[in-house]
Amino acid sequence: MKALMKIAFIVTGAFAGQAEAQVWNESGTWNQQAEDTYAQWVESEVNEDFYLNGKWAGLAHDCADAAYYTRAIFAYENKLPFAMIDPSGSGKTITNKMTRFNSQSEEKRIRSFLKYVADLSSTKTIGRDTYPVIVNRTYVRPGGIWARPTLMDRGLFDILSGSAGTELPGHAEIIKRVEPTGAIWKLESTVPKAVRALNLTANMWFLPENPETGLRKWLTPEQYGLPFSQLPGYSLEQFKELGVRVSTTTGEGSYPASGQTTGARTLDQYKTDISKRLAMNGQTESPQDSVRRIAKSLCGSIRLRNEAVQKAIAFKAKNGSRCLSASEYDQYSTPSRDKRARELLKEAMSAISTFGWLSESNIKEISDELNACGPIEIAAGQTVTLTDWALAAADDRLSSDPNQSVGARWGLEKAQSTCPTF
Amino acid sequence: MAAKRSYSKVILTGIGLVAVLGFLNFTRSQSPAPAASGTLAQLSPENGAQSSSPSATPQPLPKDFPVGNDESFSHLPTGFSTMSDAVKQCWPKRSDALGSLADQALDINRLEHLFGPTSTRESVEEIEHYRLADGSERRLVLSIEEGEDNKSQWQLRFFGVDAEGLPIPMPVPESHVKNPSAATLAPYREGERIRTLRRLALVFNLNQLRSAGTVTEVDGRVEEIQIRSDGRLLHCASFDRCECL
Repeated sequence: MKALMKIAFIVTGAFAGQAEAQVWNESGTWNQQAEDTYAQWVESEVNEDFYLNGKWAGLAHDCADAAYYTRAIFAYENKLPFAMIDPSGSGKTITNKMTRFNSQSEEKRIRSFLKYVADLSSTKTIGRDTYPVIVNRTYVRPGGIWARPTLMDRGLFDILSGSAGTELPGHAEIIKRVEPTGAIWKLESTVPKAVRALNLTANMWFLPENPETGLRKWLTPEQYGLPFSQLPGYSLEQFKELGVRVSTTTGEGSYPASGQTTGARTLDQYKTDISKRLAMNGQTESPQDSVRRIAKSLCGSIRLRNEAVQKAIAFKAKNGSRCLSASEYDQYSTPSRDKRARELLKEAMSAISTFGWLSESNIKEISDELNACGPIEIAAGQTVTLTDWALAAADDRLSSDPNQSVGARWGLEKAQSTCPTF
Repeated sequence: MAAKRSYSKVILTGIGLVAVLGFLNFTRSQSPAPAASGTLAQLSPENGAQSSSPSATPQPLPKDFPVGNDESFSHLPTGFSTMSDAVKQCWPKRSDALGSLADQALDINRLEHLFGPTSTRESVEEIEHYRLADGSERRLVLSIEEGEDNKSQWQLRFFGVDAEGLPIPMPVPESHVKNPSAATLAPYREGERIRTLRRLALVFNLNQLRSAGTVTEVDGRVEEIQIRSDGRLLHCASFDRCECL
């Protein structure tokens, strides 16, 4: 009798388990309504503290992870399917239908799945799980992606892109909001993976050159394997038409940088073109609005830089202040971050002056907007303002070298470490 | 005794009913998800229309949220043509260069007939699948990644494989991760190699016209292509599933 009861229990349990054999059961598909709701949700609910407070607090992320989490979490909460390409070359997709986490409770199961997705994802996979879109408000909207996967060495990048642009690391950002003026706000994380606030930025910091970059839309699970021409909104215009200078002067009176010719694609022109495309009723940003937007972006970026510098200082202190190894140097240095911030500062200069020079007087002209960021604590009892940073950046006094002192990192003293750089 | 036999029959009948119901439920859960409905008709690309900004308050999906019908997305790709047709569409004057390429498997040498000799051929990702003696599978992934200091380097990732064929990340010592040498990689290459996948970045030159893109080779055969040339993009999921963009 007892044996029969046990068999009944086991059989019932086995088939009950099969009915729940997924990370989550989907009941809908990614139609237009779902995409609309996703966009609304990202714009209103996914804020800087999304992974610090609330239901999803504690998820460690880098830039690609944050993007994947957002899409997967919405899919889970709305019982929609989720898929990403398997980066290990099986040709399959990783989906919510996988059964590896079946033995876990629902809450643990979804977190395990998210961690798994984060372990597999990168800016490379984002390039294959999304596609480039035509730049208009139908396809460029909250929840979309602005991304550039890691590229190869400088020589090959130059050749492939047909430009003399400099090399940039892989990065991905979640489109948060598209302003009526056409400015795009994005949420970003950074490396290394950590539990941190997302940073809100409006910096469009590279010129898309190949079809795995730029402003992008997520593939839905049904769309994997389809011809690109059948993907709604698919377009290559970000890599050819947009960003082409058509005359030596623009209507706004700016001039091409030295060495550039008519017909060449430039980042400045690309930014102008996408703003025009996304603006509602021809709205444009005033110079003051531009400066405020850029100052807000810089505030977040420099606070993230501060986080990275403090981690480097702490690491050195913990390891007897020895010179960092190559991999440690790589992990704690900030050259690309510093370069992007400096470029953004120059953009602010362009908003207030014809030639956009990074001069002390120009910087001081926008110090109110910069200092709205508040003091940045770089060490115990020591703070700098964003204006201080900007002046140091303009003078090339900042150090990206993680072997240097706090003062040297912020341009307050000369760099003195003689450790090797890599 | 008779009562015990009856009770046992009831239990056995119950087990049988549960088994049948569970089997029916199992087969229902395994059926493919319905495709999306009407999505292509609604999302017309290139229309240039600007929609207003979405409202700030998100609405939950309704209980009768549509799940699609059978007339929309098919799991079989449509809209592809043969490589020769796609090439004719992209570059009509070059289609003769294909010659005997049509209907044959691709390799890079054949692509050179179309785009000119390669001036650059760089591997950016290499994936190897191995079968171990115990029947389990391992996957080695080497890809070009870039650190904070802008320097490119090869990075190693290593995976086991579960019963569903999905990767299981396996720990790799930090000293093995970046720019691993052949000696470092040797223990990861244990077993019989069953699949090799390489992603190559290529640049071609034809009479000063540069073409560039990526191809994916699987076990030596070119299987996926994305090559931009003269303002057009040739995309092939395989040699007979191509499109000109």
